Amino acid sequence: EDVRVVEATLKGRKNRRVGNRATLKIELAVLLFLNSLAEEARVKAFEEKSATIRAQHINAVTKKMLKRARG
Amino acid sequence: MDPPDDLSARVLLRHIQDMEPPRTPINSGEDQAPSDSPLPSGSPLQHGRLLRSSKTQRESQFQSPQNIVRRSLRQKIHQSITRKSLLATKRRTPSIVLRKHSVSTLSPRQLLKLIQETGPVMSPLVHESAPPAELQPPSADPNPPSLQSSIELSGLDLSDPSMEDVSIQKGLSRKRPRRSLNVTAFQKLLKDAAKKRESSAGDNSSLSPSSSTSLGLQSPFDADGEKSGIQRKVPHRRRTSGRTLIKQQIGGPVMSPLVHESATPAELQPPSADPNPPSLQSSIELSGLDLSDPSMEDVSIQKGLSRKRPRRSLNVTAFQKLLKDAAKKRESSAGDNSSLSPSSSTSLGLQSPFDADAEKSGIQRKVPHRRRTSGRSFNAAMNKQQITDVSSHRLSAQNIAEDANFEGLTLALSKLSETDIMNCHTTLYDPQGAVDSSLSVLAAQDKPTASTCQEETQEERGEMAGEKSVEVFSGEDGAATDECVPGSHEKGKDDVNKTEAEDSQPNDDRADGFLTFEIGVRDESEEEEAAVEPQAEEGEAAVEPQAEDEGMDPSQTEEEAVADSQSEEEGVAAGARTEDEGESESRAENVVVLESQCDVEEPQAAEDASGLQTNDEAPQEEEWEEEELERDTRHVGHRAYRSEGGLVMPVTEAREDPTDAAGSSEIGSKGLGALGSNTSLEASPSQMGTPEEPEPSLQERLENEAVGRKSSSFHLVQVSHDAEACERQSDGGDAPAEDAAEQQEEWADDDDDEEDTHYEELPDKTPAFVKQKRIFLASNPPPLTLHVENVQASSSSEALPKAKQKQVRRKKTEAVLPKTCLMSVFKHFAKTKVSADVFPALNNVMDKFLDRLSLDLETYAAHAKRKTITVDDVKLLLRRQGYINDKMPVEVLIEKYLRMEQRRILIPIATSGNVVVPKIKKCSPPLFFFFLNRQSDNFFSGLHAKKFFLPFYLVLYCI
Repeated sequence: EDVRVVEATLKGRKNRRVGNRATLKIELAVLLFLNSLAEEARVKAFEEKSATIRAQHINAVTKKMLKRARG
Repeated sequence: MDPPDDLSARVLLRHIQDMEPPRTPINSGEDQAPSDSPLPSGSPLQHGRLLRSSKTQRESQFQSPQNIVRRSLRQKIHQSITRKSLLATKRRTPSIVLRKHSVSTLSPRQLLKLIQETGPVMSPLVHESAPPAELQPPSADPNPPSLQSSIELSGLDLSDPSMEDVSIQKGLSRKRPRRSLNVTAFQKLLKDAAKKRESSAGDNSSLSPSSSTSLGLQSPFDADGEKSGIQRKVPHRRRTSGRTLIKQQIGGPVMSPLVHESATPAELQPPSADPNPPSLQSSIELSGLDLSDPSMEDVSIQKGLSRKRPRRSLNVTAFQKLLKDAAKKRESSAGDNSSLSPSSSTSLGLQSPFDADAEKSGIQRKVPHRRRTSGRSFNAAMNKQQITDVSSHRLSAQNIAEDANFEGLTLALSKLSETDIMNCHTTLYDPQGAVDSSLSVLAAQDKPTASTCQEETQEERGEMAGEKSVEVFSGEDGAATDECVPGSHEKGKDDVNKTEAEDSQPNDDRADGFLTFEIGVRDESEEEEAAVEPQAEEGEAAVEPQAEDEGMDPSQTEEEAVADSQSEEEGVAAGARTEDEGESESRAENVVVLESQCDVEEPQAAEDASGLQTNDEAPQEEEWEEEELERDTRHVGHRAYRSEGGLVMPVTEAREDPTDAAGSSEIGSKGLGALGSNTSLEASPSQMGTPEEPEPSLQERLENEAVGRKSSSFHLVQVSHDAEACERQSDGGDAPAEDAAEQQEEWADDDDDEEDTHYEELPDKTPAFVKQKRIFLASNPPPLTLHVENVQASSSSEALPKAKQKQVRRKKTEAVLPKTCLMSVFKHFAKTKVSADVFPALNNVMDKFLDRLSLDLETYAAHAKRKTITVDDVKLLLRRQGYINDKMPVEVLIEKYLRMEQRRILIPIATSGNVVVPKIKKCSPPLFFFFLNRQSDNFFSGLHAKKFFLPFYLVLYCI
C-alpha cells in the first residue's frame, strides 16, 4: 500500500514516467528520510526533556533534514 | 565609628525603649533572659550600639559591603569591650549585648519594623549582624548558659528578620547581587572568627569546628554549582515571574534563602564552640523553626510564585532534613566531631540559593537591557510618527483597522497556550534577524541575499529553541523591567501572559523603530480600536488587553505597509479590503489562536517592506513581505527551493508570488485593469496576499496545538501546497501563467460559490503571480482569471466557514501522504511517543521533501536524457543524500527498510539452477561476474573470502 501511495503522490508531482522498480526505491528514499527525521525529532525532543515528539520538535529539525535531503 | 546618620535611628530606638517596659525580656520568657538580663551596663547603650551596628551595616550595604561590614563589626566590638579590660569579658560583653537585644524579642521586632519603615535596606544586614556578633562569644565563652542564650537569641533574631523580610521585600529585591556579596563577606567574617578562635580558644573542639566550617563553606559550592546547573530552568522562571509580580512578592521568596543562611551561620559556630548537647539541640530547633517560617511565607506568596514552589520547598525540606540529621548525630555523639557534619550541612543550605541567583542575574541581564533600548526607541519613534502622520492617512487606517481588529482577536487568543509562549520567545530573537535581513535587503536587493538572511533568522530560531526557556524568562524580565508593569500587578498566569504580550511588543517595537515610516501612527490608532472590540468579544482576551494590543501591532504593521500601497491604489484596495474583511471574519469565527508566528513574520515583513520602500522598487518589497510570510509558514523547504531554483530574479519572484498569493485572480485582474503601472499592480496583490497569508500560518499553528480544528487547518495547508504545486508546475511548464490559470479554472469548476474560501484565496493570489509574470516576462494576460474572479465575487465571506468544512474533507484526500500511513511509519521510526499534533508539521515536511525529491529525480533523468526515472536515478539521489556510501550499500538499506516482496524485486537473487530472479538485463561478462560474486556471497552465507571463490567463479564463467 505504501508503494501505491508513493506512486500516487509521485504521479501527481512528476512529469516524467517512473520506472517500476524506481518507485520502490523512491519509497525507500522516503522511508529513509522519515527515519532520519524521526530520529532527529526524537533527539530534539529529548533535548527539550519531553518524552513525546511534538510538532515544534519536528519544525525545529525540519530545516536541517531538508537541507540534508538535498539531491 | 558612629556616623552622624545614626542619630535618627538612635532616637527611634530610645523612644521605643522608653515606651516598652524594661522587663520585656522576662515577658518574652522564652528562656535565658533571667540570667543575663540583670547586667546593669545600660541597656540603652547597648541598644544604641545595636542600632549603630545596624546602621553601619546599612551604610555598608550602600557602599562596598564586605570591607565596611568587617571593620564596623570589629570596631564596634572593640568599643563595646572598652569598658571591660579582659578579653574574656570583652567577648562576653557582645554576647550579652546580643542577649539583651535579642532577649527582648518583642522590642527588637518593633524596632526593626520601624527601621524598615524608615529604610527598607536594613533588613538583610540585620540578619548578618546577629550571627557575626555571636561568632566571637561562643568561642571565648565556655559558659554553657550564656552560649545557649546567645544561640537561642540568634535563632529568634533570625526568625524575626524573616518576618521583616516579607514586609520589606521591595528594597531587598533590588539588592540581590549585593546580598550575595554580603554573604561572601559574612563567610569571610566567619572564617576570620574561626581563625581567631583557633588562636585564642584553647579548646580542641574549637579547632575541629573551624575546619569544619571552612570546609562547609567551600565544599557546598560544588554541590550548589551542580544544583544550579541542574535546576537552572526553575530559578529563571522564578525570577521572571517574581519580577512580573509585585516586587514585594518577589522579595518574599527571595528573602527566605537569606533567612536560611543567616540561621545556619549562627548555628555553625555554636556547635563548634559548644560541646554542650542541649544548647546545640536548642539552636538546631530554632533554626528548624526559622526555616519553617520562610516556608510559611512562601506559602503565603504562592499565588504569584506557584511555579517556584517546588524548588524552594525542596531546598527547605532538604535543608531541614540535613539539620535534623545533624541534630540526631549530635545527640548521639554529643561530641565535637558532630559539629563537622552539621556545619557542612548548614553551609550547603546557605550557598545554594545565592549561586542560583547570581547565575540567574548574569544570564538574564543581557537581553532585558537590549529590550529596553528597543522599547524606548520604539516609543520615541512612535510618538514622532504619531505627531506627524496621524492626519494624513486616516482613511486608509480606518479601513485597515477592521481587519486589524479581527487579527488582533485571533492573536490574543493564542496566548493562552504554552506553545504560544515558546513562539513569542522565538519571536524575540527573530526581530533581530529580521532587522539584519532588512538591512541586507537594503544593501543588496537581490533575492538570494534576502533568502539567506531569512534562513539565518530561522536558523537562529532553531538554535534559540533549545535555549527558549532561558530566553523566555529573560525576555519576560526585560519587558517587566522596561515597562514597570506594577500598575497591573496581576499574579500567576496573568503575569505570565502579560510578560508574553510584552515580549511580543518589544519585537514589534524594534521593527517599528527601524521603520521610520508612517506605520507607527496608524498602528496605535488601530490598536486602540482593536483593543476595545476584542475585549468585548472575547472574555479571555479581555483579561489581557495589553496582550491584545500588542498582538495587534504586528498585524497592523502589516496592514500599514499595505496601507501605503493602498494610498497609491485606493480603488483596488477597496475591493481587496472587502475580501480581506470577509476572510478576517472567517478567522474570527475560527477563533484562530496563534499569532506568535504571525507577529514574528509580520514585523519582518513590515521591516522589509519599509526598507525597500525607500527604494523605488515598491513591488519587490511587497513581494518580499509575501515571501517572508510564506517562509515563516513553510520554513525551510521553500527557502532552499528558492535559493536553489531562484537564481534568476524575475522567475523566482514570479514563482514565489503565486505561492504567497496562491491565486487571487480577481484582484490581480482588477489591478491590471485599473492600474497600468507595475507598482500599483504589484502593490495590490501584495495587499491581498498579506492579509490572507497569516491565515494559513495561524491555522497551522492551531493544528500544532491540536485545538481540534486540525481538519480545517490541514486543509489550508494543503491548499497552500496545492498552490505551490501549481506554481511549480507553472514554472516547470513553458507558460506558467497559463498553467496557473488552467488550474484555477479547474478549481473554479469544481467549486461552487459556497465551497471554499481557499479557492478564493487561491484565485486572489494568482493575479500577483500573473502580474509579475506579465511585468517581468511580458507574458500573456489571463482571460481565465477573470472567470475565476466572477466565481470568487459570487462567493461571499459569510459562506466561508461552511465551505471550509466541506473543503476539509475534500482536501484530506489530497494530503501529501495518507495520515494513517505517514503517522504509523513515523511512529515506528520514532520509537517514542508521538503527539497527534505532529501530523500537520510532518505533512508539511513531507510535502517539501517530496517536491524536492521529484525535482531532483526529474533533473537526474533529464540529465541522463531519459524520460523515465529509473532505479539508478534514485540510487544516485540516495547516494547524494548520504544514505548510501562506501560502507552502506543499497542492498543493506533495502533489506533493512523494505518488505520482502519489494526486496525480491529490487535485489537479484540467484535461485536454484543458477537463475537470477530479477533478471539482470545488461549482462556483460564482467558485470555478470560481479553479480555472481555478490550472489555467491548470499549463497554461501557467512563466507566472505572471495579469493577462495574466485576460481570457482572463473570456472562457472567459463562454463
